[in-house]
Amino acid sequence: MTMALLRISLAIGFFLAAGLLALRLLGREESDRFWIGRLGFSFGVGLGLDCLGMFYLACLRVRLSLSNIAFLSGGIIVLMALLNCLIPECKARLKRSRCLHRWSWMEFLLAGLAGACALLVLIDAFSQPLLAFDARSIWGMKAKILFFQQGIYGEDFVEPARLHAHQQYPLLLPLAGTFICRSLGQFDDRWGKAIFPCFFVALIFLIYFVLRRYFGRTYSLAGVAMLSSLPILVIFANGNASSGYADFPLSYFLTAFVAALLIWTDSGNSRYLWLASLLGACTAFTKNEGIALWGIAVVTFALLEGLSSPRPIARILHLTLSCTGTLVLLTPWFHLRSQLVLNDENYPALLTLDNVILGIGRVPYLLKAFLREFFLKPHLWNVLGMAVLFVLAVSTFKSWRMRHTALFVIPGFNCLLLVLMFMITPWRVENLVPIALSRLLMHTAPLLLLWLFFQAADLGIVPSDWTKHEEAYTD
Amino acid sequence: MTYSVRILLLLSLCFGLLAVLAGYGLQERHLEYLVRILSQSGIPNPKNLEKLRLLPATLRLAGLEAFLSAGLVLFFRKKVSATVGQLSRQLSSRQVLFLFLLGVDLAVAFLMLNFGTVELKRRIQANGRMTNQDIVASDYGQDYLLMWTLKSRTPEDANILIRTNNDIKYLLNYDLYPRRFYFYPDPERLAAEIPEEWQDCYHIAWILEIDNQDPRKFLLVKRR
Repeated sequence: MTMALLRISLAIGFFLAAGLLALRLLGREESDRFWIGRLGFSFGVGLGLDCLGMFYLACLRVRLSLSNIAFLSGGIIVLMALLNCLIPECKARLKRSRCLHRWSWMEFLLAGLAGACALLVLIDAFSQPLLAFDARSIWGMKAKILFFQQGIYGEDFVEPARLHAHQQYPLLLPLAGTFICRSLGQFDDRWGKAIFPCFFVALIFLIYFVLRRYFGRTYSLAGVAMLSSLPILVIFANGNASSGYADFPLSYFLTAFVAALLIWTDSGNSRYLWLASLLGACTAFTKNEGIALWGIAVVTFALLEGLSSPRPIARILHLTLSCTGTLVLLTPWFHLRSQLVLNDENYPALLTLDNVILGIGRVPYLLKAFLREFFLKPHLWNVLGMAVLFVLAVSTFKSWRMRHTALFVIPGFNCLLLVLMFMITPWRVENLVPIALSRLLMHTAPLLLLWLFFQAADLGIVPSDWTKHEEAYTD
Repeated sequence: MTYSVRILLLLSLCFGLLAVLAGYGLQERHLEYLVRILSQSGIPNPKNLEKLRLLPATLRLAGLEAFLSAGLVLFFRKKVSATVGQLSRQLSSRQVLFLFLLGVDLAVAFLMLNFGTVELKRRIQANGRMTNQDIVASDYGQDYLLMWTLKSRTPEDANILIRTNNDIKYLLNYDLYPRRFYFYPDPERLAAEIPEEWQDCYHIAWILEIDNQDPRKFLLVKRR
């Protein structure tokens, strides 16, 4: 067991090292002081770099053996170190004077709550092998094939008559599982789940980092505590952070992608667009819904930049370049996907006017299901729905003109998209909604929570002592 | 003792008492009616019922925590009184409402943590020193007969033609890898009518038919 833990730590260390080095390219102003944000981003960035690299190797018919994977991840670390030497350092835009105060009992309580949730997710992940249905039948199966076949062109992937759930689903998580199991030297789905608690901790750090850029420590910790204690992330059997489903990793990547874009719009540091390119690719490579969510986020930011930036055309051009980077990174996947068998529902093809008109009859049921989900399931969402409703009720017109509005618009569009999806689905909606809606709403829950905290602070419905930043920023 | 401290004490003690009483009261009761509200599928299956059985222990733990928090309020009464007094002077009604929501959030978060801890403790006690395979076997329940039969009768590299609409096929596909399962494109076609050439093409050595409703009813035959 000790050996297994050591090997897993080494594999995760590879992800973190690659991620931290990649993030140093963004400039010092964030890296040296906001180290917690670095940790939040670096796990996803490192994992994304390694898994995309493994996928490209597999596309080139290079076997995913231990030596090849070790060579690849070592190579990525060396490459990032070289780029750090070659690319000039980004000049700091923000200078600040530090005047930190001691932690209060409230801050200890909030941090302790988040820590306890993270510990619960960690122990839960290692307490049993993969047992959840989708985790085994889809993601675990793909990881097993990748581990044993060491490639993506075997019969298991491309043969239409071979039993394979959702052949066209993306491969980021199975590749990450293969990476961990390869470092273990055997396929073990209990230890292979190690990446899931890491995603949870990384998301906690990320949320803290985003809130801490703007607000005081108490308020940021309150946001972290509220997110980490969302029951759907911790105790929900079919889709929580340790279950092995792809929904939570998708939440992480989407949040990280949107956070990178938010910091870009705010700080003007265009290197965050590089980060957004990679995180956008990871979002789309984690789950099919990721492509739609990526598109929603990009359109939202393009609209907001177009409406509010003093140089809208230049900003939208920058964003377009970043999106091009994402699409280039994903091209091999799109190519492979076009060759794989489609053995499940094809939503783009189902999106016809006839189907939409037919689906209108389902809208009353869907509305009820959404309302029930938001307001009558505190055992999944705590009081998130109530808090959002309250903040919406007291919001002013002016408050919608802030940049953080994107954090509300993206979950809003996601809900509309889900309604549309349920309207055209070929399945009986009364059977599908109860088992899928909670997980699908989980993808944008961290963004909604961030919006709640930004908006509440903006409207002054929290004591100003809590939101006030202790560190004075000057340009 | 100030008015605010008394209210906080009273709230903590009342909640604690209610939680402990409810915890003991629900212990021997049938909780099937709660499945519809608390579970995702709303079906009272063994897994959902097993989770519901943890509710009394969760409530008792919450009750103990409430008593503990009452003790803390009493111990730090001067500080609590000063903080509450300061807040009540500063805050607007909207701020009070938002902070109340955050307080409820914190309370639900502790209940959730309690449930998670109780569930994890039960699982670790139940699983004990079981291997991964044992845990998977217990997860299959009575359907394990199917997996055990396949495991014991077919070689590891067998190519198996499978005919069923039951989702258990995907679990077998994962748990019995590297055995490979194939399906004929026309799911309605009877096994006996599936062309030999098609079966030869995929080197099918075994044919497995599983009842669509009950995976314990199955037929496994070796192809001649």
